Amino acid sequence: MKKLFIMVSALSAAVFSSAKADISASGSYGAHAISGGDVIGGDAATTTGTLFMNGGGLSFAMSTTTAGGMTVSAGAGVSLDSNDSDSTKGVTGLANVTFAADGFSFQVGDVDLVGDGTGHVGNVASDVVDNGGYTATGIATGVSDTEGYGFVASTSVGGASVSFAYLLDKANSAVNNAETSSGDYASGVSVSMPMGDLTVGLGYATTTNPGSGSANEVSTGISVAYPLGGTSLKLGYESTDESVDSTTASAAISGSLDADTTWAIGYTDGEAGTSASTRSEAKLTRSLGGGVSVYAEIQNTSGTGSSGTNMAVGTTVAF
Amino acid sequence: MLKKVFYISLLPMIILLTSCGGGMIGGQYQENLAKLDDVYGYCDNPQRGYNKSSIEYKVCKDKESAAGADGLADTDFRLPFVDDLLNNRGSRDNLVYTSSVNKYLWSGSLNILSDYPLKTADSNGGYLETEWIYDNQNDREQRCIIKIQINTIEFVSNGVETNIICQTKQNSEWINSGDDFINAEKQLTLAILNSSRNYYLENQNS
Repeated sequence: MKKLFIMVSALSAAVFSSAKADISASGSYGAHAISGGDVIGGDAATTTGTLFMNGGGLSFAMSTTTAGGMTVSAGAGVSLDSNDSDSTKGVTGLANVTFAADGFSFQVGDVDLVGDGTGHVGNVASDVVDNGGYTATGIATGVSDTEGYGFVASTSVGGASVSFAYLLDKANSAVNNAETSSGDYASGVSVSMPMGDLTVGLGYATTTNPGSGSANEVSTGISVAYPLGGTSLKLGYESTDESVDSTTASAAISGSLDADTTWAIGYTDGEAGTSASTRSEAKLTRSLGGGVSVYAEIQNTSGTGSSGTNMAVGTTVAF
Repeated sequence: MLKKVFYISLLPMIILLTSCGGGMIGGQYQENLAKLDDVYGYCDNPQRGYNKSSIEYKVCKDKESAAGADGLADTDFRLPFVDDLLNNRGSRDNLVYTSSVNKYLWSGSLNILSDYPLKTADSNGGYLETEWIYDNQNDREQRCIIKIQINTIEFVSNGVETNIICQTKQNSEWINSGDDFINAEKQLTLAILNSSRNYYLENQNS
C-alpha cells in the first residue's frame, strides 16, 4: 500500500493540466437540404425544388474573474447564417456585458427580453426546416420586440430561478446605448421552479408602443416539464394581448435511442384573431463524434397559412 | 419617475441580498441552473437567456447535437454501421458491443493496479476493486481496498473516481479506520491519468 502511495506521489500533477483562457473561440458549421412547398431561397423566384444551404458561425467569449470571485464576461461573433437563406455575413455581440457571481447574474447592454415565449414548447425542429416554405400564420403569440438596450438580472429564490429584464429602448436592437426617455420600454419576468417531479416555468412580458399608436402588448405563458419513463414531456400555454390577441397551446416529448441518438416530437396549436393553425414537428439527431452530427427534421403545418410538409436533412459540425 | 427609481435601485438591492450568500436569495443559483440544464438542455435553459437568433445559441445547439444523448462528445469521428460492416462483414459472430467506458482510462487503471489482486473488474461498468491489500510493516496492522470507477467514454481528466477504504486491526477485529485519503486518492487518480495518457499517445503513434 505504502509502495503505491509513494509511487503515485512521485508523479507529476501536471498530467492533464488545463489552462483557463480569458478569451475563447468556438464555432460551428452546417450544411442542409430542404424541401417543402415554395422553398425560401435567396433567389427571388418561387421554386418548388430542393433548397441546398450552408453556413457557419464563429463565436468569441471573453471573461475574467475578480479577486472576489465575480466573473465579468462579454462575447462577439461572426457568421454566415446556415439557418435561413440570408446570405449576408453578420457581425454581432460586444453590445452587452455580464457580471456574475455564485448567487446572481447581471447583464447590461443590448439584451433579450425574458418571459416572452415561455409557453412555446412545441418547436423541436431547428429554424432550417422553416425554409421549406409551408407556414402556419395562426401561431403568433409573443410580444413584437424582444431585444433592446436594458438589463437582465437573474438570481434564485429558494429552489426557484428568477430573471427580470427591463429594456429602456426595445425599438432599437443591437445598439450600445439608450435614452431613459425613449418611451419604448419593455419589461419581463421569468420564473422556473421545481414542484416535485415537475418543473414549472412562468413568464410575463410587456411592452409599450407609444410611437405606433397601437395598444401595449402583454404576453403571459406557462410551461410544465415532466420526466416520463426515460423521456421528457413538456406542455405549454401562451397568451398575448395586442392589436390581434393570440393564444397557443403546445406539447413536446423527447428522448434518446442510445448514447448518440436523440429524438423529439412537438405539436403546437395556435389562434390569432380569426386565424388558426397547427404545426407538428419531429427531429432525429445522430452524433458521429468529432463534433459532427447528422439530423433529419419534418414539419407539418395546417390551417391558416399554407398547409403542407417541410423536410430537412443535413449535418452540423461543432468546432 | 418612481418606476425608473425602482428599476435603477434593483441592481444594488440584488447585490446586497445576494452578498449574504447561501441564503434564500441567490443561495442555490448555480444548483438551480444546473437542474434546469437537465430539464431544458443547456442552450434552451430559459434562465441562461440565450438569444435564439444569436451565433452563440447556434454554436451551442450544434455542440449539443454533437454531444449526443449522453452529453459527451466523442473525440473520434465515425460513421454509424460503416465501421461495423467493414470490420465484421455483417457476421453475427463478430458483433461489436459498445462500452460506456473510455478504453485509455480503463487500461491506465488496470496498469496502476497491476501489482494487486483484483476482486472485481467490470469493463462494461468501468468498475475496479482490489482485494484487501495488507500492510503489516507498521506498528499497527492495516489493510485497504482501492475502488476505481470510470464514468465516461470520453478521455477526460474528471472521468475517473478513486476511493480508498482502510481498516485497522484492533483486538483481532478489523475496524474501519475512518481516515480520509484525499491526497492519496488524488495522487492515485493522477497516476491513472498519466498511465492512460501514455496509452493514448502510443495509440496515436501506432
